[in-house]
Amino acid sequence: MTALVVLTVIVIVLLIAGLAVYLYWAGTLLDRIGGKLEGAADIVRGIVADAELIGPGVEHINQTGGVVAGALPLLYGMAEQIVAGVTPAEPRPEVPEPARPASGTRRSRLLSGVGYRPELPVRLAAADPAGACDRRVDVPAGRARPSGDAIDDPRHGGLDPFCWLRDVPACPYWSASPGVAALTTLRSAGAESVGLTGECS
Amino acid sequence: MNPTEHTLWVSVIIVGFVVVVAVAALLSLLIYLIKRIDRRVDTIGATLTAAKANTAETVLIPQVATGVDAVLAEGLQHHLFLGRVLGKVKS
Repeated sequence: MTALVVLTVIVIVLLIAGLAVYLYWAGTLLDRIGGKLEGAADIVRGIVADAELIGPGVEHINQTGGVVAGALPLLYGMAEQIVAGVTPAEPRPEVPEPARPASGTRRSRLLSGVGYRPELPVRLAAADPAGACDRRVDVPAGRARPSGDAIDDPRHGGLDPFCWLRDVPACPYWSASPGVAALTTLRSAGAESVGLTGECS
Repeated sequence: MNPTEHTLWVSVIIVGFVVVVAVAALLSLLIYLIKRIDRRVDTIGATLTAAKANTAETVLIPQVATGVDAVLAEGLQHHLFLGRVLGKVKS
């Protein structure tokens, strides 16, 4: 009888003590979580306050930017009209030059564009300083071009289809060499005919 | 106390122990779940803090809008200037 009473009391005490301990523990944890959630709520309110600035600000920027983008072409047009108005026009010749058809061999960039440079039978005097050329041609200014262009040789009756420039060092499109500097200097000095000579084989 | 009452009392005590163990198990599960909630709340707090840092610069947007307005005002001045100059050039 006494043992049964004692066991009964122990069971009741265990139940109450267990409930108390666990509920206190859970209460402590939930209180801490509540504090953290309050802090998170403050952060969320701050984010909302920051985000409220985005919409009107971006709308304002878009509206003003659209006006600026629409006004820029007007400014361009006015600036172009001003430039056209103040640029001195070259006087027309009294006797207009006759229209001449285009002549010469036209250069194609298709081959050079893919890196193909055909071997052409020309060496320049700059590449041959010993002067072993048996036939020299003066290259008029502006006529020295990359490979494929014929040299307009006035001493041979005009265009010489057999005289080609290959690896012209004076051509600004090609690799640098002493001839480049020479031609560049002459061209910058305004020479009508540069001293570039080539040998046709 | 007759044997039947004794047996019933013992049975109730045994059931009481079982109930105590069951309550302890369920409360342990509750504590586990609460701790998991606590960890996830920490994660949410960190994410919100990062988001707050990201949105803290939005105060610059109105300043940018003011700057774009200044660009527009300057563009209008240029427009007026070019209009005056264009009239003189054409004349």
